[in-house]
Amino acid sequence: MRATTVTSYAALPALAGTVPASRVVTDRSRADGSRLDADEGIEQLYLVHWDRMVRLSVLLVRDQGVAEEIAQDAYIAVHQRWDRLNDPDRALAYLRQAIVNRSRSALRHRGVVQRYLARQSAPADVPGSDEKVLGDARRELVLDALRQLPRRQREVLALRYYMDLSEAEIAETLGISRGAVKSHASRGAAALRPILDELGPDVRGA
Amino acid sequence: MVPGPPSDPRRDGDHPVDPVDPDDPIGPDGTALRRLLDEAVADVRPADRLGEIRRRTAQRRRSGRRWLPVVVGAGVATAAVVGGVAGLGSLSSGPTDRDDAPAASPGTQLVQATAVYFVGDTPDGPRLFREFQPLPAEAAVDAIDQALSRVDPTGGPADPDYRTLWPAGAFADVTVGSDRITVTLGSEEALDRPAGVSAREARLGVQQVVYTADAAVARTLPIAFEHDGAPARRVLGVEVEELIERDRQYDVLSPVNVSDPAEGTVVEGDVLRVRGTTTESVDSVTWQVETAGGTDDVQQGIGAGTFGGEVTETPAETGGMGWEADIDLTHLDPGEYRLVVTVRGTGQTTDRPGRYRDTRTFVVR
Repeated sequence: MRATTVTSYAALPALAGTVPASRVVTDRSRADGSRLDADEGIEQLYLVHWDRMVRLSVLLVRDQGVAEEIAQDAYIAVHQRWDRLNDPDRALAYLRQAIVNRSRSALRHRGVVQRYLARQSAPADVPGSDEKVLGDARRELVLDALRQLPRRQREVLALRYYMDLSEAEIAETLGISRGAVKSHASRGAAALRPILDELGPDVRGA
Repeated sequence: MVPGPPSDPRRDGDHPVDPVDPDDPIGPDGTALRRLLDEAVADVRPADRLGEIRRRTAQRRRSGRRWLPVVVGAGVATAAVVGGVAGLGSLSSGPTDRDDAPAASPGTQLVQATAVYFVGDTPDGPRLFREFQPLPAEAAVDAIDQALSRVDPTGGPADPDYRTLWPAGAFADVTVGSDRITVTLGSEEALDRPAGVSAREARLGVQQVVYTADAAVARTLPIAFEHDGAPARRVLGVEVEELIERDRQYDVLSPVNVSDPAEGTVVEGDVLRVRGTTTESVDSVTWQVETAGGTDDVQQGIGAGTFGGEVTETPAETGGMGWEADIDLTHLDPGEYRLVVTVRGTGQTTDRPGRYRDTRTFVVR
């Protein structure tokens, strides 16, 4: 059921006067070490951490395109809360948390991604280098193994061994206890041990 | 060269070579695991997205901008726009892509408009506003989990006028039973009232979860919060029962709420369909399109020919309090605009009669 409406231009009072005036722009000087504004802060975080944040997400969701989307959204979420984060370390911690949280909800539609990958299982890279192919195979092996871990174990391993976070930092990032971090880490590491053994000295060091 | 020999220095300049925490040793297997994970993603070369991030964060700032009514030429001022009113039921699906064709790539995943509730301000205090977000199509517990990940501030609203009251990491797990949805809280912080939030507003925070979770499964189930294996007695500082019912009191939802367009929608065609809901049976819903006024010529846009319209129709016939209008955009230059939708509240759902509004920005290409 659809009713017709006649629009009356010019009949409305102008509402512009009720709109709050534009935001206050404060001039913060860099020289005295004062705070960065949100744009500057995000740019810093981008320059220093973008690649690692995308790679962290790749460890969690595997697909690079999905990971880039997640990371991009996470940066925007940090920008939005910049004034409340109030300090670069907290901003970085929040960014990591956003990456993990968003990677988690992205995993909920992994079925589609997996079908896509299954169709494209052949390495996309131009062959010609044995080493390259070996590298691809190993990478697939590791990412496959991670994917088969329970979600918490995968998150803890990625934060522990890729991001080099302490147990306390991981506990805070994931909202779980340090004891839980320990047990997820040891179970996850045990699950990956066969791969370590297979790859042997290459990854265990001399 | 990939993979490098074990003695290779790490490829990432910002990756500490040997971050030793004496209380937190990682052991020889740890070193191997590090190398393993590093190698697994060392070849990932992320695309440069700084430009896109900048563009999107610049859009977010628009809430603080000055907006002016759009003035249109005299020729257009006589144009009529066809609008109408639809029932609430048909409004709640939003811009949904229900194409059942198998997805061919991650780029074509099934996406549907998912209702997420946030807190926004009105002249009568904070209220809940519903925002549709395009999220992968999910069902049951996955749908709730996903929608709550947007109530989490690491997700958050697209509309900068809205906010969420929940701390990051609040929602650890969700289960759906026959008589309840159980949400496990993953953070102590979620038990306390957030700083600067009134008791009344905190009650809205609790209802954010009830409304969002119920919408995700299209049922009206009560919510049970759990923390540390026991029912949570206090959530966001609000003393709660074991089962929290949907609060249907008059002062929970905003008197007016835009469903479409979504915040930041890019409009390619000549017509923008706008629609939404009201909580009162108002006589009319007015809308106006404004443009960002970045100059000092504040007065320039005000006067005759303001671009706006009115939807006056009979929700009674459809049983719902929905409104809908098609806005003709043919005369608008490419750029960013703001849609302002206003109802004059009659006091049915507010303590004070007055103007209530919701806004969305959109981009004309």
